[in-house]
Amino acid sequence: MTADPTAFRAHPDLERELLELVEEHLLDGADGLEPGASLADAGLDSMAIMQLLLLIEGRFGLWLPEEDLTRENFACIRSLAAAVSRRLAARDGVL
Amino acid sequence: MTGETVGGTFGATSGGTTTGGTPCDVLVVGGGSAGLAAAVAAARSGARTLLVEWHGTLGGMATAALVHSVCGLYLLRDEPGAVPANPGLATEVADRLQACGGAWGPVRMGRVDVLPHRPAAFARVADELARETAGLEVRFHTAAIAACGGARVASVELFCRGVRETVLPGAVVDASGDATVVALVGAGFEIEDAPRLQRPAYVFVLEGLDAGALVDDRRLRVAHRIATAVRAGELPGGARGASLRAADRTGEAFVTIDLDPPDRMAYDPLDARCLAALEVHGRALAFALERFLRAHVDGFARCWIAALPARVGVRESRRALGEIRVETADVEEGATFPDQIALATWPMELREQATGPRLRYPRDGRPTGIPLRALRPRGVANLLVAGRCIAASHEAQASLRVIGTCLATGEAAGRAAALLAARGVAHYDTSALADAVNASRRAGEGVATCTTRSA
Repeated sequence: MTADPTAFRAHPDLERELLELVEEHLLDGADGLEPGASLADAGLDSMAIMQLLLLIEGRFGLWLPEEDLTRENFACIRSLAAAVSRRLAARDGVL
Repeated sequence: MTGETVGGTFGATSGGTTTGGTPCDVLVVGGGSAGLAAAVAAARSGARTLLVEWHGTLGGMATAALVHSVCGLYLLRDEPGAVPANPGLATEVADRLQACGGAWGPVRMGRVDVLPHRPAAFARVADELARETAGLEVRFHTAAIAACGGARVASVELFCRGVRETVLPGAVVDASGDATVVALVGAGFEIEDAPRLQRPAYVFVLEGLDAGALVDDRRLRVAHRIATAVRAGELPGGARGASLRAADRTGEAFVTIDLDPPDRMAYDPLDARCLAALEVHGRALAFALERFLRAHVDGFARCWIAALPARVGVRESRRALGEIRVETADVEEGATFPDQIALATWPMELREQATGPRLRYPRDGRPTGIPLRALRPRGVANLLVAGRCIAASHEAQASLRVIGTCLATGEAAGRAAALLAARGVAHYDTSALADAVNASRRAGEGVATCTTRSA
């Protein structure tokens, strides 16, 4: 894990896909969010992280481990995409 | 049949009334937050008021269902600092909760401010409010089982432990949460199809947690452990979305699970079999979670279930058909109405899935005016509705249903009912009535000036 979760940039398509998940299941109007915008300020409370976890499992077949459940990783779509991207790369053996 | 009526505080009404029933000015059915506010407001307006509730406490969701936050009390603001949305009883109840140490906050959660409270403190505040209110009589363990009338409710039959009693009210506030009186008197209502109905919440209290068991990210990690255990088949699927929140005292936490009925049963908040299945299912999940947490999660080895709810927390049931319906677009845009009597500020919190909410915020965080017409069922002149069963779309109700807003619509309904009972309902004008309700609230005891902020 890098110290700065935003240092690793995920593919923009992944950010778009996560944004769609948030829009469809958690927050109406989220598709207008900037990838770097705070999810808390947009209206998601900390328990929405658990919903996201389940949604990510449903979409990508990826169960994020406990250590990824930090407020930093879930601060914005960009940081979340970076975390998901790292785990997908590790699982699928590509980086 | 009139049963063995215990002598209450109600004497004969002036103007002559029918025999065979207990007269009162205002009857409030249901003692949740809306009914409490309605009854106190009606009595403060001078109406001899009877409040009936079938649990042994007032407060409804805020006590019997162990809901432990008052939502909808404050304006939706990006700036820090919570600003009350509805001066009057909503603010008074919040102040009383804080004054007795029964609430802490307000706290910001995402974009909203909420007031976390102890359900027991809410019950205490409700009892004190009722006791201090002259002209208000409260009856527990009592349900409305029949209502007669056409253009007005002429009588309501109450039932307590095998005893029936007929009440002859001047006006009625239906704060039952299920629009019970609306249905009994044959007025119109709607109810959402089972798959879209907001899922109910099952809340219980855990004690014996180690200090810090839910501090910072540990709260999320506990939720992660639960979800992981569900994946592994170690916990039933219904526990997947369990959410834990620390109470104000060390070692205590509230656990909330949104419920789907077991065994693919369709959800019906009006069906006794479904409600029974939900209650048993909720308890089974609570016991399973207690076992799991004790055995597998740091900080929970000595935890136990200290309180189960008296009932599952129903979020949506019948909605009355009113003279107007608060529509989804009204909440999205923050509509204002000439006869508005309260403001709704909570986002539309859609809980059609048991895995958590989908939120829809109003444009620019605007509050929604709630028109008095949405509290007036069509065609029944002396009946008002308050709380979660007022006339609103399914999505709008997901904003209006919260406790802070129920206190505000309850207060308005109570004041309107008192005015109708005093002045008669032959020639009412809703706008004039709304003005009178707002004026009455401004003049009310312990009530701050009503500021309806237009968008």
